[in-house]
Amino acid sequence: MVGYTKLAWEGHSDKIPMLPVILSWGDRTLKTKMLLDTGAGVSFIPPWMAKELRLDIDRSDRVAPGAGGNLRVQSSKVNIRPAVLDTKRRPARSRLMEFVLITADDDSLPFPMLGRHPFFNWYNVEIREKDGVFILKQRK
Amino acid sequence: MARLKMLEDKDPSPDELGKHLGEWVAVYGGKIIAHGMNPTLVLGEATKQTAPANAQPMIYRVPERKLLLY
Repeated sequence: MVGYTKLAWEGHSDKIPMLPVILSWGDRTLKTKMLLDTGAGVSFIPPWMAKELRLDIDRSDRVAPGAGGNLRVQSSKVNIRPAVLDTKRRPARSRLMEFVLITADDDSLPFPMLGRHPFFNWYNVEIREKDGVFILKQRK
Repeated sequence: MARLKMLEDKDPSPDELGKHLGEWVAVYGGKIIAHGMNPTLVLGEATKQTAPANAQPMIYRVPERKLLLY
């Protein structure tokens, strides 16, 4: 069970479903949180993360259509491991995400986004909005 | 199917995160140890602080106010 990230400011509050993950490539790792985005077909990260991880980038320019308009992107691969433990307190598996899109600049999207393919094929995700939690169940 | 739960990383309090709307924050031990608009600088500053513990901070972006409910 993973709690939403909770915020409070000036008498207001909100909560966001962000999953803590460890991204890695070669000997480089980065701990971050990605927005669980059931509306996105694939995942997106900003270019500073790709640079930090020294990802091998396919430099062909692509356009990713989205609700906010078209985004210029490039593609790469990255290993991803949810920063969670299973019920036997074992860390989640690291898996190769064979296709991740890298936005053209760091501010193209408000957060790194975890889209459906392939993550939602690896995990069943139960969102309990009212409780402010989500549950990941690793598929065998 | 194995149900998964969160690893050790604790979040800062909602009030603490709410002071940094729209910024990148680096978190270690449940505390914000660096923050700002440039994630590379934030990560660099935070990594300097966690290096003696041979640990890595978690860095993420706090949503901007316009993306949040009122």
